[in-house]
Amino acid sequence: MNVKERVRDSTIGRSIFRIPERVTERDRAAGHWASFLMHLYPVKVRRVELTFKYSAFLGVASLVLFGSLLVSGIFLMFFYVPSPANAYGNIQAIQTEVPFGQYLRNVHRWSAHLMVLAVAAHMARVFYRGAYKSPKEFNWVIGVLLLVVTLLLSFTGYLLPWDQLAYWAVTVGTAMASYVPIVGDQVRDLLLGGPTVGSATLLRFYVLHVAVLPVALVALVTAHLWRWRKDSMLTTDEIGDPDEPVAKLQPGLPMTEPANGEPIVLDGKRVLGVVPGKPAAGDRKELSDEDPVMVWPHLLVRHAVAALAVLFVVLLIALTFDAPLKEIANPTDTPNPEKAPWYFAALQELLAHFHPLVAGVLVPGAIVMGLMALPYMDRNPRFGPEFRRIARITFTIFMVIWIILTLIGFAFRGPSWSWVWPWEEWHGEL
Amino acid sequence: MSDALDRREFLATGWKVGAGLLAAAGLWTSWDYLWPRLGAGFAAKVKTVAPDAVPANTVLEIPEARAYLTKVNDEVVALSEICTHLGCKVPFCDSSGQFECPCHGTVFNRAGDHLAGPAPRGMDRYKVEIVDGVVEVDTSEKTSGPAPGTETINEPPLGPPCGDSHA
Ligand code: HEM
Ligand code: FES
Repeated sequence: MNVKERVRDSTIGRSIFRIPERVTERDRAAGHWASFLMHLYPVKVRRVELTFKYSAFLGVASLVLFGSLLVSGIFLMFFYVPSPANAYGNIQAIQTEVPFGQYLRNVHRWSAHLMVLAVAAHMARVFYRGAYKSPKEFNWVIGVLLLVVTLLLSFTGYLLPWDQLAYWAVTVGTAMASYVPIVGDQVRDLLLGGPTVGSATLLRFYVLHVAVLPVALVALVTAHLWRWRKDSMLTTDEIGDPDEPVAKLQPGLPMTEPANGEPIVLDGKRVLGVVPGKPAAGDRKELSDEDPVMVWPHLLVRHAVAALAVLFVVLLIALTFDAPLKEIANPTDTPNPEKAPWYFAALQELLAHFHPLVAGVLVPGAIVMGLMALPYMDRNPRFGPEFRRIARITFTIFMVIWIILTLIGFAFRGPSWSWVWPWEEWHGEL
Repeated sequence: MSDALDRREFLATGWKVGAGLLAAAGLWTSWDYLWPRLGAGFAAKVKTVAPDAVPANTVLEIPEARAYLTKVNDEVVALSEICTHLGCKVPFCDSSGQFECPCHGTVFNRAGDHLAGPAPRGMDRYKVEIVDGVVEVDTSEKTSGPAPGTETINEPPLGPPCGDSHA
């Protein structure tokens, strides 16, 4: 008996590790029931979920980045006091006096930007896969809420360094709120805690940033993962010939697509236990994409590799680039140009052309509402890309417009929001 | 079954009503708790200069009041330097004699009339009073700027703008 086995077999060891040795599939399944963290994972997934092309592991990447933000954020909190008299100096001290302070601040800042990217890309990937379709509509809605909370986290964090970038981006961002009909001014005053961005604002944003929003995000992520786990064995992608709409019936899977294209759930139940599938031995048939595979170890190792890859990228970026810090916030001097954070650059570009009620309220409101309504409006039950041309084209057009507007606002705008070629004069701020 | 509300029904409805009331009370108290106590901050009266020192062809910045003083048709006015579009500080451009907002390029003339750009109205004004021969700006009393198209004064630009004006 080696040391590890001895520890596991002791009275205390057995009380801690209730997961059996994972020899058979049954043991592995039991391992899921016995562990809190593992039980957020399904026991089996369709084999296609192991591939990079399926999800690009963007959901995992978002989660890992959030973990990186939690850890680096808690470290930053030890040296940061949210008041106009301290904040800016604290950030300077973190960068110059605290060992590894600059590095931690870089990790936090770049993880935040990457998380916005990862969450948005995750959403797009889910869209193109058609994975928001029945019965997963509501998990898509939870996903949209997660995107909103991620943006709010980033935006509230943006103010905390209390530099010129922070002060004016938040001034403009919160002024947009006051254009909301009827309640706008009140919402803005409540956010700012006063007539202009000031000490009350900094404290309010800090509390939102380190307590309210992270808790909301954790709650939403938990529900999101739980639903993913529950739906994990539903057959989704229809791989087939467009001329032959009849799907193969897959025994052992809870959901299949019969001839009329309406997905059904066999005997009305989702799978909670081990799915009866292939015989344990003797079957040497090639597995198809839709065949179930054990999550432990196949999906877990892939997630571990994806997590390490993301952390490695964050580490590299944080070692190479320092998070920006401009001059201390000065309410009497707006930098020219004043730029919102890049993920609001498209909105800022629209703000220069349309009334703020349109650009700052109606457009973002329509985007969020439209995304949430999408799974209920798209009544097409098919998953294969060849059956979803209109949906794919529409989504792509909107996305491309948004990316172009973002690029223009971020890199092509200079003093007084005039057009400046980025290679002549760079005005992008991160 | 009697028509009278039995205990089971009473409890089944009662707890929902109770929870609803609790939620409403929670919402109300949180709102009140978080509502900013205004009157603090810069919403106060700021003493500035003698009326004669207020220029009629340019503006005088009063940073403590976040305002500019200027004379419009011989009358002292205080223009809030907070842009009516999205709150940036609007600087005065000496070469053109106009205000140019750096954020989205709104242009106002010396009297705060809206000339071009995305702001929905002209610059807001604070109440001014002459107290003991000194102009006093009351930053707690603000009137919204004039609608676009209003011409309080008619002053063409004196020269070239400071920023490239917004296309
Ligand atoms: C999804 C999660 C999060 C996002 C997107 C996010 C985003 C940001 C951003 C953009 C900043 C400005 C960074 C900078 O200028 O360096 C910031 C600062 C900060 N964040 Fe976070 N954050 C997240 C989670 C957290 C958590 C969980 C905590 C603490 C428990 C935290 C604590 C802080 C602190 C103390 C600062 C100020 C220090 C600084 O500016 O360097 N953050 N955050
Ligand atoms: S804030 Fe002045 S033009 Fe937008």
